Amino acid sequence: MQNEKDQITNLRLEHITKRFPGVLACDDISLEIGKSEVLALVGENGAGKTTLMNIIMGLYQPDSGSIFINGQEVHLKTPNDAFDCGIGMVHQQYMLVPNMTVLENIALGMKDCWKTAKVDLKLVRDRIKEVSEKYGLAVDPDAFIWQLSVGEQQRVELVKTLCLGARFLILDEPTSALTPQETDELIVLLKRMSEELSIIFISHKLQEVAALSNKVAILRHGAVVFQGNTAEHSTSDIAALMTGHEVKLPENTEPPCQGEDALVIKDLCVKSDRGFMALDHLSLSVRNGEILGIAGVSGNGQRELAESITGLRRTSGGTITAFGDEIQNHTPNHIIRHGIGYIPEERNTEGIVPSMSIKENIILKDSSQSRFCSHTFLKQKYIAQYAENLRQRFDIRCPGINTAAGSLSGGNIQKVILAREIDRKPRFLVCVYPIRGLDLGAAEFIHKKLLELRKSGVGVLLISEELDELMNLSDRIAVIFKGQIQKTLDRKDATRRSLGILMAGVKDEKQL
Amino acid sequence: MKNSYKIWFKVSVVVIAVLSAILLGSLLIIAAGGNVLDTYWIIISGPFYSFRTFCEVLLRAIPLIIIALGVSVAYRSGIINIGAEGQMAMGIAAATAMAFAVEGAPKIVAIPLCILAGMAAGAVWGFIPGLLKAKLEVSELLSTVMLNYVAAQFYSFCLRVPLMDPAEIAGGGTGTAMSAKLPQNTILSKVVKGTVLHQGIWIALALAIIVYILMWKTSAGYKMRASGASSRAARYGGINVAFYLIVSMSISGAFAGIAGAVEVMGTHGRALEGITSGYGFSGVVVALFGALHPAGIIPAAILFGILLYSQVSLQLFTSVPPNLVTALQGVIILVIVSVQMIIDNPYIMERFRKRFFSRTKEAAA
Repeated sequence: MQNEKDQITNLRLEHITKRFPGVLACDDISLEIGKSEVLALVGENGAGKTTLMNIIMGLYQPDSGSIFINGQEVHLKTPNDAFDCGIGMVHQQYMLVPNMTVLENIALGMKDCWKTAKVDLKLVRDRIKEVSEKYGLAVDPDAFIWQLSVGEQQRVELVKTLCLGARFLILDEPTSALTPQETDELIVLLKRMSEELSIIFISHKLQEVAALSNKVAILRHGAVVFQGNTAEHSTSDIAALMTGHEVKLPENTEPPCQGEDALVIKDLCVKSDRGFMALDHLSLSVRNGEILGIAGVSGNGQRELAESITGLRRTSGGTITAFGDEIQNHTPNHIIRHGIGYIPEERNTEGIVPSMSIKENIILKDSSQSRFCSHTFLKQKYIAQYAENLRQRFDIRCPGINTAAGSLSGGNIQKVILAREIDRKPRFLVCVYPIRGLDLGAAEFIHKKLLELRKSGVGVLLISEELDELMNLSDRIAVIFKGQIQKTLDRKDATRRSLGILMAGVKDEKQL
Repeated sequence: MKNSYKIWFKVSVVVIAVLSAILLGSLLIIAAGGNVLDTYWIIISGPFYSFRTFCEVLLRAIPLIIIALGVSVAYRSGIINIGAEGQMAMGIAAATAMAFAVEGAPKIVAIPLCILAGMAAGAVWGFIPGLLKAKLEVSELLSTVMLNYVAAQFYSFCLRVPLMDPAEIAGGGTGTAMSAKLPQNTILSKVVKGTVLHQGIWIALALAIIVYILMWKTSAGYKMRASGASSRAARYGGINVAFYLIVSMSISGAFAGIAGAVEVMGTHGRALEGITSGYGFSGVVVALFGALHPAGIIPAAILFGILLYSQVSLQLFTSVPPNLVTALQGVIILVIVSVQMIIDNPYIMERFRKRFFSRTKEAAA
């Protein structure tokens, strides 16, 4: 602990190699981060970013190679060793206890405030104040975690890490759950913080990389394929290096579609979990062969909209008509049989049964259908063949179809869901945040599939926060705000600016 | 050779666990004033002394297998049935009542009817907490335990009033509460003459096969497993989670009821006070210990049967109190559960590898 106050002016990795059974996760990686530098670590899912960070955090030991802090070699055997050296990490999933206050959550990790019989909360409070003033991180120590938005929770994570004495920050996909506004705030914040300390951040979003970092390192298949100053390279260069080929996310260039109405929603009213009106007389319609994008800051009723269409949430008024039949408040099974597919927001907990195999997840919606089942017995052989076929067609990278679906990476889980939903041949698809947290390669694949689906005449309701995604894919974009559709724009009229203004709740631009 | 450390890791964990279980057990035996070696020898060798004694072990395994199978069905469907004790008691009461009702019927009709009666009573006793959980979200831990009390009192009442042995009543009714002897046509015959092992063993094995087919080969079993593994994903997939919760809990209760019927018709021949003797709770442990799979439950039940039987042999051959075995059971279960946790923990395995294998690897390289 003698280096408690020292700044980390230099962190150097030399020839780090780490093997897992069958995989070379890190292949002779050398990196250097200097004083007040921000290094962006980019790469596709499975490129070895997380493994590398876990090595720096002392969770894994490298098979060979060494780590130097301020020129001195360190051996990080446990996460505690890394903490003692001043390295702190903010994980993708926040490690906070929801029914405790911010203060209590931070006290959990601060060993110096643990007295024999009580916790010295005053000390914690002072420390929080000190940290928030130093870095301009405003948090209310007495708020409960469950009351905070995702962006605020992340700020708490940052304050927590800093209170524990971190002088070097690692952020694992810090923006994956944030709204565009929160992302902008975070970038400003991190820029300010980088004056005091060095930061490594992992990201898929190349705009952020360009906005925030001054150095960038690209990993592919466990090796560093590129290192350099961010300012000298365009985002498309970086994208190409990351995937190994030119990436251009597919775009919808077809003329506006004139099909018949597939889904019509009239005056839909739905209550949220907390009991207030999440959807307030919302109306919209989607045609066959059309992608209708729903833009909006999350928490404006998107979840409730998707869940009420798919029968997972009761509505309290209005109608949902699909292909001429009212489907509101029918069972999820009825709606599935009616031809409505659903790619849910929570892919890890809702879209798949994590402990079941890929094969079993493929038949989640159809286990009693004659395709997979005869006289109540599952057709095991056919199911295996079918799953194997989907695995190849959808390029699901996994050891085999008997692997537990929950052990796959996010992109591959999404491919399992997509394979199931698309190959069931839906007449209509509800699709929520389909590429959140996914790398470019997976995003490209998923977008291609959605456009193919559109071409085959299926209507798609695409709920997203990524304006680029919406503008690339949608025929029309409807903006949702406080449970109502603000306005529906044709693709040609939609710009980042016009959507942003509508998302902020201003209906008519002239009001500004 | 690449993964040899994994095997070494697992082997050494198991060896250490067995040694520590023996050590902890020895402390208990010494505290109870017994001879450690003698006691262990009797526990281990007792069941294998003769074919007859091994049948005693199997006899105790029968209700454990049946109950554990039922518990595993419920557990896999997302509901923990700790009410098997009560469901079993209801099954015994119903099977006994049925036995007297079908007196004189041919055996081939009487026995299935009695088992069906026990099964139905147990199913009802499982259906109630299932329904409460599905419709009102009442915790099954609460409802099943409370129903255990109700069942225990109801069972006592049956033995003292409607089903009471007429001979007891004639004699003044001062002895232990029990029913009359079941009519001969409802008694399960022995598998081998001269042993205690009755036909219930075939029922237990048949049920094990049925559970395996139900859970892993049919769509209903698939839906139950999906509901249990992630109710949210199951609901998303159009599975009626509440329905399968109720179904699985009724199946679970039905199994406990069958266990009760088999126990009274095969082992005791009459309904007695205390006949359930904790089988309902041990069944939960056997189910978990057997990894919630029929192929694991059968050996787990036999292991428990060995421990249960040693209560008898310890009493015969040593001065160690037989209740000591119950304490030993506790120690063994704790050790086994800890071993499973350690073996499944990749971090501990990684540290083991570092400590004992990194040096040899460097030397090799």
